[in-house]
Amino acid sequence: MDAESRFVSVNPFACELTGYHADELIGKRMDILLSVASRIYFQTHIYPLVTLYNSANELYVTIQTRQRVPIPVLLNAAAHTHEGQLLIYFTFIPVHQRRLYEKEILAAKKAAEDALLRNDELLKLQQRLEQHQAEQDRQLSQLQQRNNELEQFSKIITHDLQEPLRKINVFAGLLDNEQPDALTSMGNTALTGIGKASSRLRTLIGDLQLYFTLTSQQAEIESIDLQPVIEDISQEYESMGVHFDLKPLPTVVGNREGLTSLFRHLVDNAVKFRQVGDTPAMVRVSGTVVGHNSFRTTPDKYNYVDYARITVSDNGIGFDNQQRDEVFRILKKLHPRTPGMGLGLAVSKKIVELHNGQISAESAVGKGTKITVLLPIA
Amino acid sequence: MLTTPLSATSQSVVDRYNVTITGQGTQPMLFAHGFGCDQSMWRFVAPAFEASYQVICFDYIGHGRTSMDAYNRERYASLHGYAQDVLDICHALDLHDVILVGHSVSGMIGALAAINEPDRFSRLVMVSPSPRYMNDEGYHGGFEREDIEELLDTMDGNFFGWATSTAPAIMANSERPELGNELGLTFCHTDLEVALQFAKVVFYGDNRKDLPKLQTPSLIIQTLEDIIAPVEVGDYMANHTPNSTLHVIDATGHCPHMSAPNETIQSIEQYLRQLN
Repeated sequence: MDAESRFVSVNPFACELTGYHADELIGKRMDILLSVASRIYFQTHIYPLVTLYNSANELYVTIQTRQRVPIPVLLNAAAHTHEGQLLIYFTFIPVHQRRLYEKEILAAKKAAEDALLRNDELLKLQQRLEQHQAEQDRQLSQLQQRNNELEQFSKIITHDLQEPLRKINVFAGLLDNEQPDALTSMGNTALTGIGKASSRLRTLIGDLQLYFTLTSQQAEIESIDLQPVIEDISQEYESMGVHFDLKPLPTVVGNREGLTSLFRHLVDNAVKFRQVGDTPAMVRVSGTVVGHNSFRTTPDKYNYVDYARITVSDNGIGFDNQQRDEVFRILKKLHPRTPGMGLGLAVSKKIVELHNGQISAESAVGKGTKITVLLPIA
Repeated sequence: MLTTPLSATSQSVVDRYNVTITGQGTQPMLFAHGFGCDQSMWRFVAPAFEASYQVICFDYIGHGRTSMDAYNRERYASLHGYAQDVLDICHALDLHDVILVGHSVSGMIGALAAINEPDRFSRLVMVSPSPRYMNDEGYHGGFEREDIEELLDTMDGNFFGWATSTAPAIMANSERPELGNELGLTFCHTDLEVALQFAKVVFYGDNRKDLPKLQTPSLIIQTLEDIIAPVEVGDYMANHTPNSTLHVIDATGHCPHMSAPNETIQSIEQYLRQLN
């Protein structure tokens, strides 16, 4: 055969076995004599092997006669250069009987291997199960402990912190109602300061409460077309001179209120951290469906399923990309002078995690930020 | 070339996938081998790019000289597991602006990687790719389910064939002295268990729905006669993949990078020139 796998010469035995005349085969590609499966095997393994290694030995393939009768053969191949032309010599012998024996041996081997593999897997599973049970019990106790703390914390926030705040407001109100000249100008400035600070404190408490109660809500899950959700949000911001580039978005499964709040936070961030100057704020939202491992924390566990991947990117001020994980931490503010409490991305992350999704950020200072969200699809 | 020493995690990825890095350029060109062989199949093509690129080759787990320890049946039950290999290598070596060259199934693996992390790849070159190997209503892939079952049988029957192709290469070929120097290298070695699972994932798989999602500009190299990825499949790929260029080259068979390396190199060079 030549380098293109075309027959150059065929011996009489091969002709007799396959039912072809030699001149019918010469110039044809090797494939004509192979079963379909053996063609794949030839192209993916034997051909590379002979080309790289110049020989291939004891390979089992099935050849096909003119009448399409399959004949199992053992194939050897060797490549030599003859008068400047690469020639590959293929020799084969039919192995009907041997193949039958082999099949039986293989079947027995396969059965034994399957049993072993199953046994092995069962043992591993059992081991893992025991580990998991111990691990789970530990985690459960920790979770209970944390849950108790959170409940207490929530109570502190809603009542114990609100109450003094309310009182500060009442007393500040009393002062405010005094005669205009009752306070010195310093006193008046201090009063305004108290008003601002307590109003910030009220927002902070409200946000914290929202953040910590996100988990406990029994959320209603439904199929949600994200397109109108994002369109509604973008309309609110378009009036503020923000430009939007919205691409078609996939339908996801989740809680409508939660996801609306998620994308409002993301768009709000994009707008909040816009560039100062002439560059108009531009927010791009696009989505696609990608395969992703559904195991998020267990190492070496894989189950690839489809997720909707939504990206929200902006041309804003951006941040140092090394802080891409920290931006999701609660009360983490990278830009101290911008409005807000540093809860937006923490809340976003929490909503995404509650949906068994994933969220990540990528950013470059002066260029903008891209938030990528993976959410389960219908 | 890499100038800074690799971190421990990066080194472990380099070892795991038997990553080899050559070339004088800075832009990375990552070569992914197809089903049934290992990175040695790029030896006629990859060196041509060493002058202008950072040339990176690797073996999938269970292929070539990789260790089987990292094989995970769950991970490799999906082409996404293989796409993650490509991404893991990109992360470990901190590769950006990558030109990914994938043969056969690695064309689709590369596409999945580029769909997952579009920002990391600048170009995708797919040599003899196919989104689905089995025929379907209104689609000609080239094979029926029985053919694939027979292939698995053939591979099973070739246990010794697949295993012994690891034998040290002892060659006396005056035309290609470079091959003779590589005694002890393995050629097209594939672990049978890995190859059988890979074959099932590849040949029973269907990635047609992924093609429209690929935004990275891509080159599809198609040969005139290829039973594994016939001309119809090349056309289908080109018609369903945005930003793709179909190049039918004057070559036959499924491995133009071995049977017609010059045509393959020219096709890739021409494509990269056009876009630059």
